[in-house]
Amino acid sequence: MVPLSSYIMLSLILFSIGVFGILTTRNMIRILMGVEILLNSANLNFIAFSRYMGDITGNVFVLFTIIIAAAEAAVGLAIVMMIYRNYLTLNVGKIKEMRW
Amino acid sequence: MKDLIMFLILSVIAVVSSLFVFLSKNIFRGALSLSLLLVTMAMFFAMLNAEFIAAVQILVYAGGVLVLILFAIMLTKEREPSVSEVTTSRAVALIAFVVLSLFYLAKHTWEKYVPEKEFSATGASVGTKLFQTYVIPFEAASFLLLAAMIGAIYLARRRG
Amino acid sequence: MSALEYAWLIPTFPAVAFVLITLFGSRWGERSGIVAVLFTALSFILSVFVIIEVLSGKELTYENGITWISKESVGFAEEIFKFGLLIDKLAAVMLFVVAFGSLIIMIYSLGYMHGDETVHRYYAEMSLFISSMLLLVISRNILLLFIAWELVGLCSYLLIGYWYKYSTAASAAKKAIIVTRVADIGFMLGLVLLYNWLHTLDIVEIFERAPKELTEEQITIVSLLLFIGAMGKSSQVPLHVWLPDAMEGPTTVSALIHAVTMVKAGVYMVARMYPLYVLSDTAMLVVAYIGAITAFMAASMGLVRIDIKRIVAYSTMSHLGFIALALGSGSIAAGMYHLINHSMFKALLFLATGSVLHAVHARSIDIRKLGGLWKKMPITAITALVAIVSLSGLPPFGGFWSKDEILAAIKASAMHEPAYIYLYYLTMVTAFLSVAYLFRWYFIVFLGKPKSKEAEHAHESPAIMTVPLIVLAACSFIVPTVKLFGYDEVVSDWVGEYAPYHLPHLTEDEHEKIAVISAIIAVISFLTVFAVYYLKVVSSETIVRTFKPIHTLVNNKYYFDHAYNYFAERIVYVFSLLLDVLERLYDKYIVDGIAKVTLMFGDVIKKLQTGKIQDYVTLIFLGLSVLLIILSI
Repeated sequence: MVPLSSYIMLSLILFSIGVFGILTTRNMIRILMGVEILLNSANLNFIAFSRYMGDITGNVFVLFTIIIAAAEAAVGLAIVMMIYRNYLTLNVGKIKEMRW
Repeated sequence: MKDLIMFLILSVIAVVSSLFVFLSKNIFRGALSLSLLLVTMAMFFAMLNAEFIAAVQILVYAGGVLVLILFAIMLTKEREPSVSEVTTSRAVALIAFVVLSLFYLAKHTWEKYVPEKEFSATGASVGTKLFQTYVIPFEAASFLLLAAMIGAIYLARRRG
Repeated sequence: MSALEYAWLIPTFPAVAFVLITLFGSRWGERSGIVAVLFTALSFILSVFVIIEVLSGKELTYENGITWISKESVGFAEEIFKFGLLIDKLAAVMLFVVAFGSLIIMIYSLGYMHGDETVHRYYAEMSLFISSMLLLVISRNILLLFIAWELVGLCSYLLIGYWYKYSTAASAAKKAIIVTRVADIGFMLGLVLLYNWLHTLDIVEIFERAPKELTEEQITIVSLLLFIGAMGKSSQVPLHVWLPDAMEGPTTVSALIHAVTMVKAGVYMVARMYPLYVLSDTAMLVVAYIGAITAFMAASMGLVRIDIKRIVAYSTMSHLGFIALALGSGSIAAGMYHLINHSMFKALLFLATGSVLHAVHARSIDIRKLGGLWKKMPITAITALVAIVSLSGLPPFGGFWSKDEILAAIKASAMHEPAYIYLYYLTMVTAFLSVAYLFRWYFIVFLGKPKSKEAEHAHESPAIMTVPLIVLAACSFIVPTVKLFGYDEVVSDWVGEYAPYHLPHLTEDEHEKIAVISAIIAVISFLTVFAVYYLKVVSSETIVRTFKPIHTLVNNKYYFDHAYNYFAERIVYVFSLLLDVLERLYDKYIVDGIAKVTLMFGDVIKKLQTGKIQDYVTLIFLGLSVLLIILSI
């Protein structure tokens, strides 16, 4: 049987990749995809702990995470469409009106 | 032993596909790579006896979220190539996070958690838990979805 | 089915009217008056059922409560606040009087306020006024009573300042609310002390427990503090200054304030808490003295005023003094009896005054400009005469009987406590004056020849205004008969349930003697006024010249306003100048200093807001790193 620490490790790697992607890319849609990766790596942790601790609650929480991820994707992509319509770009570097 | 091999193969696929999401030149390929990652995650869930969540993962992510992302990609045109920009502070933040997480993981012992043999998160057991203990959060979540739906429609609507 | 179970609807109906008119009034315009009248009528009908049920004696009190704050709901409150209704005979009769008076005044308003631009605001505020007064009458908890009390105060402010475009009206409204607010501090202190000592604000519980658990000094303090509140509301000296100025509102508002709501709230509260008052001789004596002094001062001031409405206002003040005097002399029956009488006559007199003002198209007018209205406005003149004869206490009208009761009560109290005997003589003088100023008013306004163009062109008011006048005049003949139903014994018995209370009692002989003396005084006074203002034996100027110093004193309203102004302009102003310097320093160094420091920090921190998502993500992960360090240690 695979030890629990390997799942945690994999989850950390995926999470770091997601953070790395969000920090480096300029494309708004890619940033949203990065957020999905973050959520999935967290879900992996939940499921792994649920299995290794024998508690079903972890599964239920993942269900909630998925619901929130779906809502986030819907609203986030709507915002992306909105921005694209107004600025004709997806480059977050170019949209900087919300600054001091 | 079989488990370990399976885990290694899936891990490699997951890491590579998640990297490809950001490194691909074409964003469409990135999205496809994301779908590969999501399916791999579903496999992990299945390996961990979470059958119901695995099914939901495929349905909602691969069926719903990914379709949304593909639609968004098709409706927009990426004019400029996505150039990576790395500043010192960002690199420091990422590296500090990774190092400190590793440090934190190393401090704790995880060996005491041993998987139970009979554990199985079927639709029935998850559903029982969901509708007995977590009814109110469940209703709140359904309300959240409704709000998100209305919000998305409102935002994406073309205004005359 | 019992009407008492639905008694809570009585204050609710006008409140509903208030909400409806507030929401839709601007669309309804003048029609909102009909809505207000309908809902007031519903309250009146229900109050008729309630009074029938209560007076039939089947069910003496109906007590029901909503627990507002309980031990369970807050966890830390030791005691429970229970809001409920208390409808015994005292409350039921008052309820009936208030609902009836309000209904008549509302109907009359339909005619009087016709053509006013913002008339829906008037009806909304009047509805709220009536609703809060009805709630005040039937509340069982003093805190609820106080809430209604404050609502009454608010509505009086709104309505006195109804014509706020006139600066006099706006400042009269301010004066009313400020003076009553000063008085309410006393009321609130009384509430706080009462709660502190008894841990309850439930009226019935207070009555049951106060005699056993409080010392006489404590009861004296509480009842006097509560009476300070009543002094403000019922315009007793020295907190009376707002009442004459309150005449700046529409005459119907004055009628409502004087006949049934605002000023009656104060004396009603004293009557409601009467089982507490009778436990303290000192408190009773103070109430009686203040009442008598108020009655005398107001009557004398009424004699020299020239404004048509202010004279009537001073008459109200004088009669409120009588009511307080009756209560202080130990006769709640006489006090309530006079209160009911006064409600009817004063509503009648004010509505008649309103009819005159309507005819001459004025907000208020100098009486010397009027005259000869007897022929031009016969209905108004006759109904006003009924009101005046009753009010001034000429036999055999209601006012005479209630005045007689009050005098008897004073005389009886004097047998136990000699200090009351001075009040007896003072009240005799006041009785003389009260006949005089009212008939002076009547002779100048209605008899003689018209002395201005407006008075010449006056004409009778429309039926919507005269019919209420006739109804009220008819009631003035019926009201005295409430004595026959044994109302006074019932009210006294109620007090006797809780406190050692004996109605002051005189022998038949003495009682008759008092009645004869007061009748003689009234007739002499009437003849004097008749001689001066009708036969013109002596001109009023000659009298003024003869008593120059007294006239100056009275004409300047005993210098109360001067004293208050002096206090405000000299003492308070100098003190506030001092505070002003302090505040400026505080402003400059502390308030501005904090603002400057905040701005400096803001200038530094705002640089973080780069507008780039990745920078924010970076910050999040730096923060997460700090968290991890804390977790790892």
